[in-house]
Amino acid sequence: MLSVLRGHDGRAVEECLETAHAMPSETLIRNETDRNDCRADGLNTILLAQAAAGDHECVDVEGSGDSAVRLKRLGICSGRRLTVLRSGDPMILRVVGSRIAVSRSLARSVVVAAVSAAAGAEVRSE
Amino acid sequence: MTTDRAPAEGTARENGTAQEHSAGAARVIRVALTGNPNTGKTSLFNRLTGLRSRTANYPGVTVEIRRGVWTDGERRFDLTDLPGLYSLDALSPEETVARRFLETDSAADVVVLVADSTNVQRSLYLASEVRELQVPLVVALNLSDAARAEGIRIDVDRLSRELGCPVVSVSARTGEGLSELSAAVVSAAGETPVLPAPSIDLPVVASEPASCASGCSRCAFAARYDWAEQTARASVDAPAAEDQISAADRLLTHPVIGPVVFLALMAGMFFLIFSLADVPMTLVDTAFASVGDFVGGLFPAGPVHPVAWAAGTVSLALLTFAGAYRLAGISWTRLSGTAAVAVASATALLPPDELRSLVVEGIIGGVGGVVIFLPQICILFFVISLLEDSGYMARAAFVMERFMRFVGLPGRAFVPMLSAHACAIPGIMATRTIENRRDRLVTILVLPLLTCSARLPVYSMVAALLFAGSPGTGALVFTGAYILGITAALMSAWVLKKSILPGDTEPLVLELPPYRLPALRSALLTVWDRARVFLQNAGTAILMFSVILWALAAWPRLPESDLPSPAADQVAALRTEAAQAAGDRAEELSGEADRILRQHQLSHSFAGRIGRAVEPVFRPLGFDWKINVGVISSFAAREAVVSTLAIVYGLGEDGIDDEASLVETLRRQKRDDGRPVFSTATCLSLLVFYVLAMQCLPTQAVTRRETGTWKWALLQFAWMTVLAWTAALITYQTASVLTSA
Repeated sequence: MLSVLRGHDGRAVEECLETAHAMPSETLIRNETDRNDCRADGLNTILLAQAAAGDHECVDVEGSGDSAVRLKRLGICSGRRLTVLRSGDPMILRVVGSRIAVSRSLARSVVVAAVSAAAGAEVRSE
Repeated sequence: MTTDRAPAEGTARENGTAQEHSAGAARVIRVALTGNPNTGKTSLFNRLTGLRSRTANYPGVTVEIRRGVWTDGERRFDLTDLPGLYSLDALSPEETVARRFLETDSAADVVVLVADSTNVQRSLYLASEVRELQVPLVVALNLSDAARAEGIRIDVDRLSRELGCPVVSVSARTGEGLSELSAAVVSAAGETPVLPAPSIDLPVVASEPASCASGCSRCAFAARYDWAEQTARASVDAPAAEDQISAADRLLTHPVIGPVVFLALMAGMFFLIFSLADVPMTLVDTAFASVGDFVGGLFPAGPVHPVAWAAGTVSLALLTFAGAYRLAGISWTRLSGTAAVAVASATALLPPDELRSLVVEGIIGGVGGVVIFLPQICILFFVISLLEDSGYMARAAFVMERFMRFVGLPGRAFVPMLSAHACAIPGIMATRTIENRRDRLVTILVLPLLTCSARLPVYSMVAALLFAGSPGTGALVFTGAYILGITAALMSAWVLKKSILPGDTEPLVLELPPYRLPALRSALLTVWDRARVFLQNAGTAILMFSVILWALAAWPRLPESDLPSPAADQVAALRTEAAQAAGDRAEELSGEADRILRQHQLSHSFAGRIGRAVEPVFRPLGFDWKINVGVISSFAAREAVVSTLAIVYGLGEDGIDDEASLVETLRRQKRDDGRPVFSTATCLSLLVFYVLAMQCLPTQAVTRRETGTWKWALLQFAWMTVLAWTAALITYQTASVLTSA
């Protein structure tokens, strides 16, 4: 789990997520304190809809309906690297080796963390 | 329940093939093809089966699956092409069918999972799920030529060990690896105990995707993708993926350039349809006319012995039924057998003249009027199939998404809507790419409002009536009609989404597959398949309604002796004159007599009576009873109104070939009070009515086929008829006030 985050302080990240996941998912987003805590540990979580072009790490997919399943089965699910190729509505991502277009309304339900350029390069070189 | 049938069939076949085996023939192995969308699964199916495939509805649901026969040397495989899947979490009816098929143990002997060699990791996700179903599995790494070109090297043996099943590199395009695939399938079919599935440390709730609502990190998706990533990394050596979108995509998905390119491509497609389809359409028309003439000539001219006649017609009718049932795949049950015998006996009761009219005008003419659109449908599907295979269609859906969302439809609805401007039928068939059933239904329901090519003869007639031969104003009529159709379709979609099919449009999640050179062979096979589906429709529902409409216009018969007095005298005079004249002149005179007879026959028939009966309904629209006859007889095919008006106004059927004389005749028509029938208000009202009215039976049949019930076809008909009537009423009343003022 979260193996892609090697190079970061993986342990801290995982603990932070663990705490977050112990709560109902709405709390994860709505509770600013928690998000700030995560940020303090070096994990800036934002919504995919706001993500700029570049590499991101998927942290969580909100919701439980068909839309969430449609995202997750394509690989937009925690632990995967999401590379934003073009922001906008719909936005274009690279996920698990393919380009996926996602409308902004769905991208709002995806929580991502920025991946530093160094970590990104390291993962890719493997 | 549908799956229950599969095991029974399987056992029956197995017994049959066991006997074959003892006779020395190889056992037929049933193979199911599954895989992600865009992995070239259908291309592989087409490559393996060629023309030996057919499209069938999955029992009980409206999902189509294709079955075919693949032979490799002595070996014979029964192939089933399942709808594409990203995972076994089925959401659409298509995916549910595919999943159910895979989960039914005895539905297939071997499952072949078609994977994309250029992106093994993604395909491994589904592979890990299918693997756990404990079915004999073979993974076919398709697109191996493309992967080689991209410098991707796959350690097939390693992958095979990781997956615990045979893995074969194939290419549907070049045909490489197909015999290895067949060998792998044969050996997999023989293995009863399957190898252990790859061990993935799945959370306990793995089978319940909904339960990972609160945080995905512990759910099956993440665990499987982790496994897929590790496995792919161990056995695939691929250059790093680009972090940029390609130059082509930068243009084609650009918010401004993208739609412009798309519209230009579609304009090109329409140019192709209208320029290329013209010649084959004329050919179809002439072919049906000459077949009609030929068959008409076979009927005996003089009196025939009643017994010989009855025996001959019954046996011919039964032969026709046998052929038709075979073509449509209907088996001889008690019901279908009784229907055939009943119809065959009924035809024997018809006198030769009536039967000739039925066969030539009702059957051959009716079906010919529908088959004439086959060239357009074929070209449309050819182009759509090429665009789909090239990967462009996903970009088109992407750029149109923002525009279509205004009316509550997904971007994918745009291509069907555009296709419907040639013919609604391929448009409706093309809605299969819309995943959400509700969105798909709305699209199907509004498609026939768009101006199809069958409306053009009507527009052209009205334009000529309104503005004699002035091309500028004529173009105005056409443009107005197109805009009215588009507006009505978009508004109807909006209304439907707000009323009977409520719900938000499913937000876009769409894979943009890599661009690939489409395979011509595969596109042609798709065309062949679609054309066959269309013709089967023409052969069943459409044929039946053609016969009913023929009967309405032909009966009750008006004998020449019963003609009303002025017409009777006229006909008698013409006949006498014809008898005295010779050659062309005689033919011309008796033709004139026949024409008058036909005119009165039509007004005497059920169609004529209904036309009069519904006068109160259509009078507010400015239609007289003769126009009503046109409306009724064009119920099955709207363009028929032109020829019906030609007959009912006494011009004869040849009148349609000469638009100028038809328009002249129509203009001269006066109402009882001396005003012209085709006033400006009536012409506009007629135009609006034909823009919006259903008036197309083949479309109804296809709607029924694609939605699974007559309910939606009836709703479509009712909605369009009400819309057409109301709009024509408003047009007529407004225009009457304006023109009289």
